[in-house]
Parts: sequence; structure tokens; C-alpha cells
Amino acid sequence: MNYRSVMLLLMGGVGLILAPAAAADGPQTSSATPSSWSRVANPAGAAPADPVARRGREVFHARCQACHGPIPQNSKPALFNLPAMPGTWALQAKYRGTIPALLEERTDLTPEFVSYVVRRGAGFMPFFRPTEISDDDLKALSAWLTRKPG
Amino acid sequence: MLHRASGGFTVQCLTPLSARDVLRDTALSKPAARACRIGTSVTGGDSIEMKAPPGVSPAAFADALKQFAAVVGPQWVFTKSEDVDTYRDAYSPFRHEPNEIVASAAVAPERVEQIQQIVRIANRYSIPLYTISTGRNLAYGGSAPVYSGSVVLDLKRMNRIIEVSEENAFALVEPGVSYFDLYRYIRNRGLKLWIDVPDPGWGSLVGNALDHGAGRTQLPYRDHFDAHCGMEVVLANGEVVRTGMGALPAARTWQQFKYGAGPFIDGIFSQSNFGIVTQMGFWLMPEPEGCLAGRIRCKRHDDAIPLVRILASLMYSGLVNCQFPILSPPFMSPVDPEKGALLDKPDGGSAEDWDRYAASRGMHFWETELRFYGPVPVIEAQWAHVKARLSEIDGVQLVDGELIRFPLADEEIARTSDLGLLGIPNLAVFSSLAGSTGHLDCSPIIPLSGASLLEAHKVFAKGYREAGVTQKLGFALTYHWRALIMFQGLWLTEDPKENAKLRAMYERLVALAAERGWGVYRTHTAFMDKVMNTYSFNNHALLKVHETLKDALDPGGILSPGRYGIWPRRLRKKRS
Repeated sequence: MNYRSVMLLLMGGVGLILAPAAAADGPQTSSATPSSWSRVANPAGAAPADPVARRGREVFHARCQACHGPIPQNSKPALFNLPAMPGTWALQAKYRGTIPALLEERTDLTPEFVSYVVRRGAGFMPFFRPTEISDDDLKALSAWLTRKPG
Repeated sequence: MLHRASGGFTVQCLTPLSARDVLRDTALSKPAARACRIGTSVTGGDSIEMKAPPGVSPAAFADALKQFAAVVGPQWVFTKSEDVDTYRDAYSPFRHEPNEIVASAAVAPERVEQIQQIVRIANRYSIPLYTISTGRNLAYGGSAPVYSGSVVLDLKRMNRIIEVSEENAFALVEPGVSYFDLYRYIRNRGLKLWIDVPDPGWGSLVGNALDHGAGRTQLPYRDHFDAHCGMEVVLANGEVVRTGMGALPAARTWQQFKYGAGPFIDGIFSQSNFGIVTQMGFWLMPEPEGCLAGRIRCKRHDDAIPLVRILASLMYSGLVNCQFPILSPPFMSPVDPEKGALLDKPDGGSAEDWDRYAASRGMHFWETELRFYGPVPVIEAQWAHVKARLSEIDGVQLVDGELIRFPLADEEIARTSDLGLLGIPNLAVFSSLAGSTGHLDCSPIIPLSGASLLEAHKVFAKGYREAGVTQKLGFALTYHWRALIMFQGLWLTEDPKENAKLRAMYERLVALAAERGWGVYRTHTAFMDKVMNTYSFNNHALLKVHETLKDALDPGGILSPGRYGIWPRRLRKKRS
């Protein structure tokens, strides 16, 4: 995929926010495993058998979920009542249901596109450094988000 | 694979360019005379074409990179354009412009000993290093340097939570630890502790505190630098210093007593470039039994006077110590012709004018929400007292809000709005940036008084109007102790012309504030010189002290040149 096709996909396809890096419970005493932007340690549900997909799912949970997770139903509005999931909310507003707002439900993503957005950002979604998502973790994340259904 | 820095490098010299150069060029509307983008063509194999930092020969830069790689491992030295580009400022006000400030390379150590070696190498070759913690300081420069061609010293890998004490409610962490990390650590262990988080929560405790960031719960925890206790710092010569009680070789109260003996020097390592902070202690808040909300609405323009006077008194007494905004629907609503006419009046509109305007639109004039944290009977009594005090304001509405009891289950947290008020990290604030490419924050500190609040609203609204820039968001809130910040959000775009207007507006806001004795407390890297230039009492005496310290502690001028207007001697220009 070349730059032009990536930009076309950006304009008409995905938009925002992958928040990316690795899973695991908290910072490490050995920093071989990066920390995460998730409030809970591990993704819910059964892990896939394939190790790359399993890792990609962990990376999504650690780095993307906080923006691209399901939008919760808030019980009571606050004075500042911003949508809790900026990525999902923005994609929902952009596609109005024609494409799933949840990245893990998308079937049109490509590894090149996922890598492009993570490393270059899109809209107000910033980009992410190799110290946050390693190249190997980015490949795993791409594999997870572009997996075939079933 | 990450780039291996062990091979050969083809390096060219980078033309010096700083944020202030960029601003000067922009102000003159000149085309960028000097490209500061890094040459990035890969010439095959391990040979990478790049630009060296200003004043550093290509051969010397290549040698320095090899030595960095020998210290941290080649996979943690980044020189390929696709990697170095991730050290740009994602919310740069120079987006799509050739004069964006960028790094030449990045190095990511894992341990303090590696940082010691890196600064010694950097001194040997005069390599400017720009330190970042997690690099998420968006709106304030992100992970990009102030001085183009700097090598970013990325401390994200230093992510150890060294100690958390539940009994004495503190944590000791490294710069790469995020608020999410510490929250999860505490929650997974069932510790009865809260952290205070800024918006958003993916940043570094250390980095945020050093930039004088603040959060959303109560004092003293909300003022993150004020809530720190003890730090470890690597100096430019490679020496490691521990402050406060940490200077005792067998320290047992490093995170419990700030001062130790002798001068209290922690402050000089915040918003500066005098050292590299590698550990920092933070006081944490014991988990409260509950959090009670109370909403306050006042209907008139001049109600700001008693409202702020009473709240200030309650804050100084410790009965109100939450973070709260003071919202004003009439001032914060879009400018229509009638509102524009009011702002165009010499006095910015009288109280009667504004009351008529608000009444005609069914608006109350002021609104805020307080939060009380603690044992439920105590916080209910606090709110009852606050209501009694505020009842002297004619027509004030005092609405009981929700009472939340802790701990909350994960499912309850997911259903709760505005989690920052409960010390729970989240990224919801990014929803406010929809349609933009990021934002700038210009927040002057104004006195905690209704008169100042009214003046600031009118001065800034008028300033936007005169500049032909739409004011997107401006309101006052309590972040730090005993003052208000007047938050002004400037939403960046894909259009360089529009962003140039926003940069000019930012400078206008800084100047309008300084004319009235209000100073910006924190700023984007592009405006650091401008902001520090307003702190000019007695011919910039304060900046001269900063420069004296810089020369003494970092004579080679390698650490974060230009941060908060502090330039090393070799890059210092004669001040006009």
C-alpha cells in the first residue's frame, strides 16, 4: 500500500485513534516488557491459540482499549460529560454505523494501514514510539486487527 | 526490527534552529529559510543518512551514536526516519510546515547507570540531549525538543514502581511509569490508596509533576509537584544526587520528609534543564469512604464577587479543597451580535448589560460543582456548611449531587462519568478535540477573586475578537493552591495559515495576561522564550539566576537546551 492509498483510506476509511504497547500487569522491574494504558491487567474472555494473535490482542488491550473500547452507558452525567472512549466515539460519528466503530470488529483494515496510523497518527490521535509499541508488537497488533473472522 | 546503530552512518550537519527562531521567522511571514527536517534517506545496509546536531561534525555524531549504542544496546538507539519521526510533536503548532522543530535521533536507556554514561558521552561530543519521560506531554511539546537536532533521551523504558507504602501513603517511581501503571499496581494489590491523575492519564507521574501539572481530586495531591517528596537526579557530569532525606546513605524517610537539611533544591529541577530526574516520590491519598458532589448556580454577573470570595475563604480553611471549574454560560457561549456589541464596549459590558443578555437567553451566569472526599458524615457536614455560607447570595441554587461510596467495582467505574474526579486514569479528554489535530493550552494564573474572574473573561474574549480568532473554550478553574488558572484552549488544524493565526493568538494571550500581572504557568515548547520573557522583573533577574545555575550545573550545555527559556552559554543570544 502506498502513501496515496493510505491517505485515501484515512480520509474515507479509518480515522482515529489506535492507542498502542504491551500487556502485562504493571511496570516491570525488568523493563523488557513495556507498561500499559489499561486499568485492568488482562483482556476479558478466552485468549486465541495463535501466539501472534494472542500477543496482538494483549497489545490492543494495553494500548488501544482505553480509547477504542466499547462506549459504556454512564449512569449519571457529570458537569464535564465527555465521551469515555474518544476513538470509538469519533469513528461512530464519522461512519454513522456504516462501518463498525469498534476496531476489533472491523474487517477492512490492512496491516499497512494499522502500522501507518500507529506510527503517524490521524486527526487528534497522536502517533506512538517504538519504546511504547515495539515493531514486533505492532506486527502482532496488525495481525490481530486484520484477522479473518471465524 | 528497530534500527541498528552499529553500522556505518552518513551524517550531515544540521542548521541550528530553535523554537524562538521559528517564531521569529513566522512572525515575519517569511518562507522558512532553513529546513530543519532530518535527512532520512537510507543508503543501504546499516548505513543511514541523517543530520547531525548543530555544531557537531558528522564524524563526531556517528561516533557518539556508536557509543550510545554500546551503552544501551543498538536496538535502543533510533536514527531511521520512520523511528525518529515518532519523536515529533504530535500536536505541533507547526504541523505541515518546514520549520517544525525535530530531533536528530533518540536513545532509550533502561537504567540510571546508562544515563550516567550517556551524559558523559554527550559532553564529550557536545551532543544536545532532550529528556522526555513518557513523551505524552501533548499541548506542551510532546516528545519533540526545543532545539532542533537534539537527541531525545527517552526514559519510557525506565518504568519501575520502586516502592508503594499503603501505611504511609506514598509511591516512589521512575519517569516511565504512567498514571495507568500506578493505578493498576495499586488496584491489583487491593491497596486502599488513590492517585491523582491529570487529563489524560497515560502520561508520566514524574514528567507531569516536573512540568507543574495538576489533577482533579483534592489538595495537596492535586498539585503534582507540591505532592512530590524526594527525587533522584543525574547531573550533566554524570553524578547521581538524591534530594531531601534521600541524601542520607541509610535514608528511611525519603518519601516522608521533603527538606532534609540545607537548601531545598527540588524546585530547580522542574520546568528546567539542570538535571535528569530518574526517581521521584509522591504522596498518595488514602481511599476515602465516599465522594459527595454539590452543584452551585448563580444567576447574575456580579454574583462572581461573593461566590469566589466565599469559596476562597472555604478553601483557605480547608473545608473546600477539591478541584472545581467556574463555568459561565454567557461568557462561554458562541459570540452572537449582541454579545459582540457588549465585548466591543470600552468596559467590556456592564453588569446590567450582561445580566440582560443572560436573562434574555435563559442562562444562569455562573455554575460550578464541588466534590468532598472523606467519611460520609464529615463530607455531608462540609457540604451543609458550604450551602449555609453561600446562601447569602440572592437566588443561588444549591443542588445536592451524587454520593459515591468506595471501593467501586470495575463495572461501576465503567459506568461512571468524569473519572478524573475519582483519581481514576482515563483518556476521555481527547473527545474534546474532535475535528482538530490537537490543541494548545494557554493558562494564565489569575487572582482568586470574582473581580479578576470577570476581568479575565472580558479581556481575553475581547482579545480574541480583536484578533479575528474564534474563542473555543475559556474558563477558570482551581488547579493549584490559592489562585485560579484561566484556561484558554486553542484547537489546531491541518491548515498552516490557520495554525499561524493560533500561534499569534497564543502570544497575544500571553501579552494580554502579562500586561495585567498575570503569568502563564506552563507552556508549549514553541512559546517558552516568550513566556519566560514576561517574567522580567528587574531586567530579567530571575532568568539570569537560571542561566547562572545552568552554567554551573551544565557547563557543556548538553541538557535540553532552551527548555523554559534556559539556553546554555554557547547558544544564548544577547537579550534585547
